[in-house]
Amino acid sequence: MEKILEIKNLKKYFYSEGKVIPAVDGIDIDVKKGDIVGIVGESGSGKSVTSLTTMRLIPGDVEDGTILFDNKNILELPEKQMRTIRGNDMAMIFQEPMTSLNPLLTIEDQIGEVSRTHMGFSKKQAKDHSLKLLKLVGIPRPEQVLEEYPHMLSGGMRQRVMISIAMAGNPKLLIADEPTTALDVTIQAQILEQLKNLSIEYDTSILLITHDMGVVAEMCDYVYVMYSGKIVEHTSSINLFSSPKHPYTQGLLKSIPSLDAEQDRLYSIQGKAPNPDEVLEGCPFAPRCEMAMEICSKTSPPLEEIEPGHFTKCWLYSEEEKQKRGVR
Amino acid sequence: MLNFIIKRLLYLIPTLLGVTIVCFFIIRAIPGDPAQVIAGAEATAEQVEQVRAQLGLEGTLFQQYIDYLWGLLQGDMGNSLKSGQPVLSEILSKLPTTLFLTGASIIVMIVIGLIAGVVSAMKPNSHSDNFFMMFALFGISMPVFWVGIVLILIFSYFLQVLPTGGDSEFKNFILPAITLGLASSAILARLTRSSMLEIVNQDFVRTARAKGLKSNKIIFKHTFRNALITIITVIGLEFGNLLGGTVITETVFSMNGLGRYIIQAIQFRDYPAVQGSILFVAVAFVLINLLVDLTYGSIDPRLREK
Repeated sequence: MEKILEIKNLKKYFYSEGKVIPAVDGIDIDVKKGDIVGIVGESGSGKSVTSLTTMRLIPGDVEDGTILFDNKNILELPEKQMRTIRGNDMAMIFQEPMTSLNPLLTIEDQIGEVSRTHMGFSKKQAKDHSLKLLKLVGIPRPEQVLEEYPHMLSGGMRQRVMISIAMAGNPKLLIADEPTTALDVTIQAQILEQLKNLSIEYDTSILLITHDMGVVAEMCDYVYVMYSGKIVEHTSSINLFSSPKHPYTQGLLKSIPSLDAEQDRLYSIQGKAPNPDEVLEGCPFAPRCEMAMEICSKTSPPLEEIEPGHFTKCWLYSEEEKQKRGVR
Repeated sequence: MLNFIIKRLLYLIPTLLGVTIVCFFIIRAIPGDPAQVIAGAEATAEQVEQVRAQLGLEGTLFQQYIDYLWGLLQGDMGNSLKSGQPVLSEILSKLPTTLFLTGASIIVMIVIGLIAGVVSAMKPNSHSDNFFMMFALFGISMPVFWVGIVLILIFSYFLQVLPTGGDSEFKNFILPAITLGLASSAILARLTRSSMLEIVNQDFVRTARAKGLKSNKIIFKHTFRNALITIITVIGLEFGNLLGGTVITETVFSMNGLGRYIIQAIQFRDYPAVQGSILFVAVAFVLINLLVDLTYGSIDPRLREK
């Protein structure tokens, strides 16, 4: 199938007090048309930087790599042209619905702004369009909500407004950066359902950033697991949940509480994620890895296809290491 | 809304009562005796007492205050000790000059302050930012009377394009308004810059950028409007400073306004004139701040009265 987004060898570094912080360090991500693709990782793994870089919302150049959106390298586009893509063909939903809307403007204004900017709608047209969008995301009493201000709406309602803003340009790609993290669980499920329906109905691809494996299981066709600025495993979500390969992914899945098994303590991955500015030899997960071998702390493993359609970045699956350990 | 305005206007009463008390007693606490001043240095004690009686300055201070307050309630601010004319009509004749000067300096403050602040905030630490912040530092540091004299030197003496003083024509107000507005514009510039920079980092500005809006929409519609609350608060407070600043500016530029009137009244220990003028200034200050509070609601829906 055709790809809507193709990130190749993307490197985005930050420089602070003479230190280099490789927030995103050479990642490849593909999103096919109509797919929902997840990026999973804990805080500081670089998933948000990846999404903001894709929208070109982070100042400064990338170190290396290309981002092909609809077969155009958007990293080379002049800002003016990028602006016509942002909010139009490529839109974004943020984590914090409480602060992501402008407190001084009506909902009508904030949604209508998009169609007025990108489609040249008149005020009246924009209003009708906004009303349609609010109905689309299932907001009750949409006519009234149009006239209201963000502080009059609940968190779930605001996130729906954010989704209608994102959908206003009928985007080919929707980037959702932890869209449900700030919401309570019942609302979370409704919002996810909504996103999924929109994706199917409008053939919109979604790049879903999350730290929640449950959300991934619910939503995604394909998953990338990110750790310390690198992709450590990627495969279809069915593969990932049925046979996770990377010890980090295994740890993440084990740390989901289960209703079936009796557990005294919840499993957690030992140690903590490395500071982004720490320079680590070898695999960045090695210090926390229960399966770590000698080589892990010396050389970083390559990202390899170890089964058809299943890629991981771990020495456990390299032929040489398998032989050494006598695994067949 | 109307209730709010009425409530605020009722608050005016205790405020103004406080102003009359403080003003009445402090001016009398200053050494110096108007009866002695009017009677002259060589007057005998009896002559001084006679003048005192004519001026209505006998009796206890408390008695005098009650009389004064009673007069005020009837719209009588007393007669000037110096000219013998009613203070109210003297003040009303000086007021237009001062209001015009204050208004003009507010315009100077807003124009210079906002432009400098917004331009600086658009590119922090750029050359234009450094230039404007340097300018702001100068503006805050230079005393008003000195700025006035320097401006007179440049524009009136060397270039001979503007008059050194007076208040009869529009061009008389140019130098005084700049003199008076400069320090306030510097403060406004700094505060505009910092509140713009704070707002720019808010999530909703990121949302605005993610919508693909043009940068001037992002700057004015999304950032500046949110910074306006701070900006308007500062303008309201600076109004008080400007009104107070007219005292010096009018003196430097020999303008016949309320500021100079107050200075002369204080020098002469002209009690009714001082009290009356300060009352006017206080009312103006309270009204402007009421206006500021009313503006908040029109900018920020969260502050609107339900």
